[in-house]
Amino acid sequence: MLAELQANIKTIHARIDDTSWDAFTNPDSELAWYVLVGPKLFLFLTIFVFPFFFAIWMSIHEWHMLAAEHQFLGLDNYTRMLVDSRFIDSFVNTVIYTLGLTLSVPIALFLAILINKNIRGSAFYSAAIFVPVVISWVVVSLIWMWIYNPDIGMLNALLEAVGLPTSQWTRGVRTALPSLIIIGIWKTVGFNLVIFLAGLRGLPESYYEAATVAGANSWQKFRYITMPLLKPTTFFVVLVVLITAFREFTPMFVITDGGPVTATHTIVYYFYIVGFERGQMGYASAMAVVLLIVVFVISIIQQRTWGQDVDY
Amino acid sequence: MAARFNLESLPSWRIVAIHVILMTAAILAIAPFVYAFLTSIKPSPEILGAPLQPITPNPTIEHYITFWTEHPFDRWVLNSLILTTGAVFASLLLDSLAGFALAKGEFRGRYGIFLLVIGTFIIPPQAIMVPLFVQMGWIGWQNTYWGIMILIISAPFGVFLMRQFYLSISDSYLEAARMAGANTFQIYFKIILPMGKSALAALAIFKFIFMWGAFLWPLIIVDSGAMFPIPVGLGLFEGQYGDTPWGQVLAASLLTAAPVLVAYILAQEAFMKGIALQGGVKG
Amino acid sequence: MTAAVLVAAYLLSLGEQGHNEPILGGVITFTAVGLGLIWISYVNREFTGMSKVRILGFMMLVMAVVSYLWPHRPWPTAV
Repeated sequence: MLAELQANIKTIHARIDDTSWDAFTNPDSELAWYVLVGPKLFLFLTIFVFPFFFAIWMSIHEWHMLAAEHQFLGLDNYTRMLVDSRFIDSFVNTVIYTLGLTLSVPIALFLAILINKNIRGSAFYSAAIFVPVVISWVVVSLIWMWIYNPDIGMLNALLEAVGLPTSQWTRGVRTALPSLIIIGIWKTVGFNLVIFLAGLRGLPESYYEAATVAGANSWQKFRYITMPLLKPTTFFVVLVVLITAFREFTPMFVITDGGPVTATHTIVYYFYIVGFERGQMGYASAMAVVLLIVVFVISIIQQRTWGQDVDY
Repeated sequence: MAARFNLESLPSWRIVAIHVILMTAAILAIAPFVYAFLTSIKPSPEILGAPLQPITPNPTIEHYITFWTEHPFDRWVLNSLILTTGAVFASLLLDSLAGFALAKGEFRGRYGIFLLVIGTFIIPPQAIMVPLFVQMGWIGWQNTYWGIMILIISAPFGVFLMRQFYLSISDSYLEAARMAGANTFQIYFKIILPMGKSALAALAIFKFIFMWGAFLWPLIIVDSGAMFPIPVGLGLFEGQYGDTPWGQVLAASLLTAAPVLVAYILAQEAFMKGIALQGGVKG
Repeated sequence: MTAAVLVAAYLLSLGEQGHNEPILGGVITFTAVGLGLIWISYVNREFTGMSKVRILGFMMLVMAVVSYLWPHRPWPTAV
């Protein structure tokens, strides 16, 4: 009886060794790898891939947040965007904001070149310029909201003190979006700067030495050595700026609430209003799909025109 | 360092000019925070009356105290700590596991899964928030910590980063460990995990900043003040008043920024690396 | 299997507002992270720097207690 039991236990142990654990100890087994990659793969599929298709599905339905039934609409949500003046405003504003933020790229490149001259204090300068990148958008928005405040803000007080005309800044219809663009540039420069610095430090010094011997001045060096060699880095920086700026939300929500009127509506801002304040999730999904397509197209265009020699 | 210029090659007036330009840029970057701090310790009448006066003769911490006592700021801080801890730990674990498998594993579908990782890069998180909100409703995760964390944890970037890093680890380590009879999990925990410390640290900082500052997704998924992370609490707090209490707003903003600023001052290089990671790997 | 799913669903629902006066979501998170860190530091104890990981792990356990004992306050409801 006992011997039988022991034999049984032995076979069970052997079977456990054979089946489950063997999969992990045997380097040729694939199961262990699937277990490692499994959780993340599951998250990808449920949190990114499924919602991606689900968004497209929702966008062709009338989908109210609280409704139980969702009526099929076809492309109505998309045609609705074309006649929705608030959406058109949002789209135009988003494009302007995004293009405005690309100004941070030349500024960052200029500062990066200066910092790369390696004068004393370079590390301090780059660290200081990087501070706005680290601080969260909400904090940045609140502080700038106070700076821009037309009545008690520091900016108008400063302008008054030196005798320049003041402005309504974020409260003026025409000045609101440029004001936000300034904040955006201010917050983005540090990020671009660090990437440009990494790019500059990877350039081969011998090129510059040869150019110095040949008598090139610093502009020529920049134009004929730095610029071509930095093309992949610049391509990358522009891409990141475009893609992140295109889906900006926090400053528009916190500082201006999309206003005055629709002056600072952006796609994601309007998307939030429609989807979560009005609860029209089908229409919001259609906007999300447009956002997705635009971001996708930016990536493709960039890759076709600039990124031939960029390796991934 | 390659491609750095020698000091001798620059005339001194140009060095001065460079200092002036860089100093201006640095001041422009930091001044708003410094000025916000100086204003947050002014009494209210001075904030309204004399915005330019830099240093107040009678500093006060009343705004900090009023804000903290009138709003559940401590709870928001705790919420943010919970979210950040959970999201950073879970991302590091899952990303390094998956990164390891994609870098060193040999299994069917490996290339397909890697393509999926690259593909999800293209999807802006904002574009999937509506369906994700509905999905979270299905499993009862609206208004939970897990619902907020999961979007940050699922981001594909970390897998890509860790895979790149593990590709640089020599296979000989793994072979030696196999010889000694280690299984895949032991190899992961005893070799791969400790060797990846630098990459993990950079990823941790990246995720930390991301989660600490996340705004839109928590705003969507959470609708009760008890579950707000700090940014949402702050962002909505400002809008509650017709007449904004600026002293409190600035005090609260600085309280929120303080931990990140302190961490940044202590580990600048790591922060820059962490955030610029995206640049380094050309995601 | 079903039981496991039910238990998991119950545990995860604890982080929900309404169940969370002592913030159980926080307790679960901090405990899980703390135990995870301590375990990693134990497995790799021959590496340098692991004592820091262990200290961090114990700090997480302390945070779990702290979030359990967090004072009750009237929270502002939906905005």
